[in-house]
Amino acid sequence: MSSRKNVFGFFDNSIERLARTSAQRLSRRSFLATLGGVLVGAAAVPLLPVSRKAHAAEAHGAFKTFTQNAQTKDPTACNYWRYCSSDGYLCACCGGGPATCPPGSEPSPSSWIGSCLNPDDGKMYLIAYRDCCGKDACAQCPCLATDGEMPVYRPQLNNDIVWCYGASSMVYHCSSGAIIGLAN
Amino acid sequence: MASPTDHLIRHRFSASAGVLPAFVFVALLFATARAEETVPADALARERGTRVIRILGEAQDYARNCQGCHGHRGISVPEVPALKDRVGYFVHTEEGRRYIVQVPGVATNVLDDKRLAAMLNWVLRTYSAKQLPADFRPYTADEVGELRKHPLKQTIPVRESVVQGLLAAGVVSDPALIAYRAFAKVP
Repeated sequence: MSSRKNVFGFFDNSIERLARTSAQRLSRRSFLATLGGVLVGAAAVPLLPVSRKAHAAEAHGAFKTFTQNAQTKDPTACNYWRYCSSDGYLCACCGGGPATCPPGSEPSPSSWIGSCLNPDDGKMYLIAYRDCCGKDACAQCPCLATDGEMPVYRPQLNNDIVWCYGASSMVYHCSSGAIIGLAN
Repeated sequence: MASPTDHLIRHRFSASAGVLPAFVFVALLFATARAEETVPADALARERGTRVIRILGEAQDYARNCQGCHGHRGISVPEVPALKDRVGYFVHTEEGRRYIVQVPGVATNVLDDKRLAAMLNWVLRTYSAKQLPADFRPYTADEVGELRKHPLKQTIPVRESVVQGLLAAGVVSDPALIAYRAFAKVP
């Protein structure tokens, strides 16, 4: 009985002490400022890129899976946003960039064109999937994404094809993705 | 009584009256420029200063379905017939007009009849306006819908027949101007 009283007494005393010290130390304005901060902070949450990424993916159902995991900073990773329909070795891992060929290989003059959703601004961009040709397969960072890709009987929308038509050699080295315009 | 600094204040006001419209004008200029060009939200694109424009309507349908091979200027690699400065010749004859729609890449395209017709007209006018007949009739959705029901099974012989027809009709005098692989001769 007395022990229960002690426990309750401990809580009572602690909370009373906390309330009294805060009342003495903190002004009412400080409380308002904190509350205001919390409210504004809550309103700002939807502005964070993460949240927009989720909404952007929702708006374009077909692109959901890739876009939800996509990022815009590291072109040597398979989930770099421009690679949403890329199939092959990333040129960015082979001494080139996301849209440039590694030394010793040449960009194919022909390509196939798809589109990827940029997770940071929620906009759809047209991407030219251009293979770099004329050198043995790079074999670094193999990636396969299939957003918007169609079966091989629609060759202009297919990524299994070696896109080296018009290059001096049909030997495939790596895949690049160049932004060519805004699609909306 | 006016204080000695009054004229300075008035002067400053009149200056700002001129500055404000100028500022608005410059801001509008920037706003217009941004409507046409944008930097993708991408670390590398920002670093390289990549700017892109909007590609909409027929231009986007062309970009998504044709441009990869035919090129954004209507001219590309020898394996792919050039459109620039030549595709307009084909619509001078009925046979050529049918060929443009029934060639498999066009007839079996994912675009519906209306968008396909609009895109074909856009291609003809964008890449080959000079070669179009003076009385060029734009393709309609109905015409395209009817023609595409019969995609060509053989293209080369039909194309050859179209070329002979254009030569016979005097539309072109040199077959090289409309040859399949005459890429190097296109101006």
